[in-house]
Amino acid sequence: MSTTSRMTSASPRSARGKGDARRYSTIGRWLVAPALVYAIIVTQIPFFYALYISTFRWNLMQPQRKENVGLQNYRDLIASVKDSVLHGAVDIYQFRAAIVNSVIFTVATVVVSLVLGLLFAELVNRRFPGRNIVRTMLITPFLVMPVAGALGWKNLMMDPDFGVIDWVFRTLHLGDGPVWLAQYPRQSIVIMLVWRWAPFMMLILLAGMQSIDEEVREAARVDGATLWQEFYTITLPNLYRFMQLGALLGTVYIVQETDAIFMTTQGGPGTLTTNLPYLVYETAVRGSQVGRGAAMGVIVVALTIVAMTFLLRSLDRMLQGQYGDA
Amino acid sequence: MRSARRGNSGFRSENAPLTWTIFAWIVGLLVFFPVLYIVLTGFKTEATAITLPPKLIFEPTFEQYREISSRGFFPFFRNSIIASLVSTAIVLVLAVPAAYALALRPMKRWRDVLFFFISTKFMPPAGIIVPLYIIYRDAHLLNTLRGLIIIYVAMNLPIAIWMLRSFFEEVPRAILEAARLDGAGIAREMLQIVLPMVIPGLVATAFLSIIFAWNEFFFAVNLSATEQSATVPLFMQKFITSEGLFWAKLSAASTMAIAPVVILGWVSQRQLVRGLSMGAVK
Amino acid sequence: MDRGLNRRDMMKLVSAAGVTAATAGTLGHVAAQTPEISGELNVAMVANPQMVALQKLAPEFQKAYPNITLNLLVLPENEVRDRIRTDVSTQAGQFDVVTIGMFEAADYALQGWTLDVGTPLSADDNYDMADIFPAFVSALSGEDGKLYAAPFYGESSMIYYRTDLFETAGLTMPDKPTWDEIEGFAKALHQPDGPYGIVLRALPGWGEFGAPLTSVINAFGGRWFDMDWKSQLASPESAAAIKFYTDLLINYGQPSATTSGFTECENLFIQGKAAMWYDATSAADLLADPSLNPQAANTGFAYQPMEKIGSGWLWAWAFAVEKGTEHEEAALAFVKWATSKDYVQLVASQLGWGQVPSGVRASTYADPGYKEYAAGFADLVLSIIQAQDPTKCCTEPVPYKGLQFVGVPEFVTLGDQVTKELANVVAGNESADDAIETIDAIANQWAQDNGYQ
Repeated sequence: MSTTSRMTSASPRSARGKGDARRYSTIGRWLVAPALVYAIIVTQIPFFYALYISTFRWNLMQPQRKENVGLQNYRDLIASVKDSVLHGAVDIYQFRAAIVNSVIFTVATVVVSLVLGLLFAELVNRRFPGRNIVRTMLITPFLVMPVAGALGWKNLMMDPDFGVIDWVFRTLHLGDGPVWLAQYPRQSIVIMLVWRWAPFMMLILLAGMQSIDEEVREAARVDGATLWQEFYTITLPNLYRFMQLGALLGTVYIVQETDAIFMTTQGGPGTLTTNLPYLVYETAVRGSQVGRGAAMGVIVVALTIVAMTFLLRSLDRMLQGQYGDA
Repeated sequence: MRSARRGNSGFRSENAPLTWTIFAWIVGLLVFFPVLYIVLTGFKTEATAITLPPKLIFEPTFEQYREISSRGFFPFFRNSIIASLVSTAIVLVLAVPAAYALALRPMKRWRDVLFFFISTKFMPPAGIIVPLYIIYRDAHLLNTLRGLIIIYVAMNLPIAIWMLRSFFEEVPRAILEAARLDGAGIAREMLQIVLPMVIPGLVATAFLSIIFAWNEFFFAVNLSATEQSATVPLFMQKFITSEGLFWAKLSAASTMAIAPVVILGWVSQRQLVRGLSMGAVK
Repeated sequence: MDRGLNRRDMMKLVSAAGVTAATAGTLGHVAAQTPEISGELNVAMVANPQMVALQKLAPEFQKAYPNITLNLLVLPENEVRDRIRTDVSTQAGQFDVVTIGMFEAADYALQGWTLDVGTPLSADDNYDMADIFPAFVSALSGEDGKLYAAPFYGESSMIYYRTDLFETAGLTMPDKPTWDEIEGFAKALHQPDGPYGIVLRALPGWGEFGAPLTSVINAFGGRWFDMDWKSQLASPESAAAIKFYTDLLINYGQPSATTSGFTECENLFIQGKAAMWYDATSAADLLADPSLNPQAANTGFAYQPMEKIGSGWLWAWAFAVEKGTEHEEAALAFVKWATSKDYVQLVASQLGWGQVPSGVRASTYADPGYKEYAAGFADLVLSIIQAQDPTKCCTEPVPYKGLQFVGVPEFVTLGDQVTKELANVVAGNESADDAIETIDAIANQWAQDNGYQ
């Protein structure tokens, strides 16, 4: 698959020439085999099973009505998206909304987390009293169980009656704070996700900063570079591989996020916080429509493959273009 | 440009200005506040838990912790520890040779193999939970720790392989070639020469794997049923009830649920950063 | 990428998938209370207060049956429902005993997924089956007339209000208020920073927002579907009810409505943040307990509001035995223990009357102890529950059973989707008219997809 080779070439130090072909080894195959076999057995058997189920109209609660419908589930889903986009029809299966939300949540969370992660990393990369404590505090949200974090945000932070944020608004005479999960549901979910993932980005970027030669920075400062110039011309170019890694890992996880949605908004209000994995959950598990749910899952896999390939390719091009041979 | 990576480089040496210090502390406290507040709330009575302005200084009560420990925290805790440690150990055993081969002994279509691993994470868990449930039913894996461990290994394997592979790529070729000239076998090359060089990366990978397994909710709630296999996230769920106020109890339970991994993360943050800095570096 | 898997493996999987349709069995040979019964029981329960109380009393069960090991899984409603549904429908047999409601009981029985508990239970005179309200027995029975789940506690819906606030404002709650009157009270008592005029559920979910909403739709003369399964959500009556409910919340409700289910509403009421609350009658037992509710002395109770008709809901959480269980006798012993008259007395003596599972047995309402504890509401709740008939929800005829839900298995998807859409109205992000148009289309599509239309 040509897309995949492009994609992995974006990962560090893998750009080997064609001449490598003769170094392909049999021994390598044996070393990869156990992991590969494991992954195939544990993930692909359920996957193919789901693929098979996706050809059925099957509600678990109505087994006697189970029937093979071929690709009808896929056709229905695609038609519903097409009708709602082209003809303004009601988004019957919430599928279009879920695609849109998934893109919004993922892009917003990854971008904001990277920016904040960079800020956090830059902050604690300098020496100041209590630096270790501040770094420890900044790492913590990534370690917190997402379910516990989401409940804390919902009950203790964002609650319009007993939440701390509302109290801050009133104390500062800003009037009643917003009803976060009702008025700004998407933003609220993104806040919770960024809270968890910005520290992860910080970890990775901190690692990147430590691999920058301090002498280069000092030289720049001797040359009279401002803080911003130093950051822009030295720190940033050196971090781009790390940002890529952060974006890649972050995307893989954030696309699949359901814990925060499950614990706070249950996908609502409306379809504003229903992302694809949550819709799959709502359809296949809560709604027992395992056939349609499986079809949705398969489409998610396909879309993610396309999106990841595209993401890595454009990231690669953009960053390479900007920083040359950084 | 890479030479001084492990030396005195890294953290910058001179002190930052005072404004920098103040700003950093404010940002740190803001980010940390929700966690701090969860922990504090766990030491309040249910009534003070919801009073505003938020009480940061108060007489702590252990009422909630007493209530919680009376509901049997230990089995859940034990299950979580076993599930995350054992799954991480298996992840490393499988991922180290695979990552080593993908980095240093590439086979045909190795890029496809690498992409295949990451693509196994693209299926929403809910999309396979019913098939998995049926398979687990027939394999007698429902409500067993084995069943959870099997799925956690699959869950963390791709990330471990990707990370470890980038660490292995850092190993200087010259060392490998020297070892091969010396006639070192594959096992010696991998285990005695290459592996020791990536220990920090290995440790960081293990930490991440433990964190993700410990915090996993969906499979835990769907595949385990009783104290035989139920993990900490399920224990926490018990305290969301409609029996009057529950925020303080829930906060205490949350604190106990997050404490082990948070403390592990605090203790190991330097290793994490150091480990991560090995990979992904050109 | 090669995702190959050979054909034989596939076929094996496929045959493993075939859920064998089995016929309903009977727990025939269960002896009377015999402590020798042994086995390991896995029980999945909803984390409602009555079940939490049961959890506390589990040692008493172990005393009576020392050879039975009891494992209780207690989870919040949404999670445990999903968990139980998957387990029961795949007949995986993870659980021996599960809590199910009136929505599922008949369907599970029809599929042969649960066992007949009625026959062995009625064989025991002490159990006194006739003591259980007939509406529950019939709703929890299969088409064969046998009882497939033993009711643990039951509920309808009613109005809770703060007598002190009403008094201060010079208002009087009638015994049987109308929704218009409720709106008037809400308007008079509403404070933007609390107490709010009324708290109501708007957390998406057919069993959360869906329950009170449907009862209001029914009261206004609306319905979900007509006899041809054409959606009636956009009919003038239903639309009026939906607008009434959402407007009531927008104008005089709690700001956090779209994340408020039963639990959150109850919390608001207990915290003195609500002048009125319309919800399940089972909350009355807790609200009367001063140790749980600081407002206990000022809590008043009234009939569910009327409009064209009075319409509440009817629900019971009940214990069913999964067909695959290897411990039939132990499972039945547990069900009998938990749903017996003796258990009510046990809870009363150990934990107090506020925690007893009420609403299903006439004897509870005849008990002097309960009468004393529940003086403010016992008779009211009793008459409300007895007035509900799940076969007559609406002014117009409907093709389904159920008061606060459409009693067909596929309803979950529809109920969830509709309540999500309407929560968006409550949140102020969408107009009620737009949302009604959308849910009407969704309901018709749903009826087509599932072969009703």
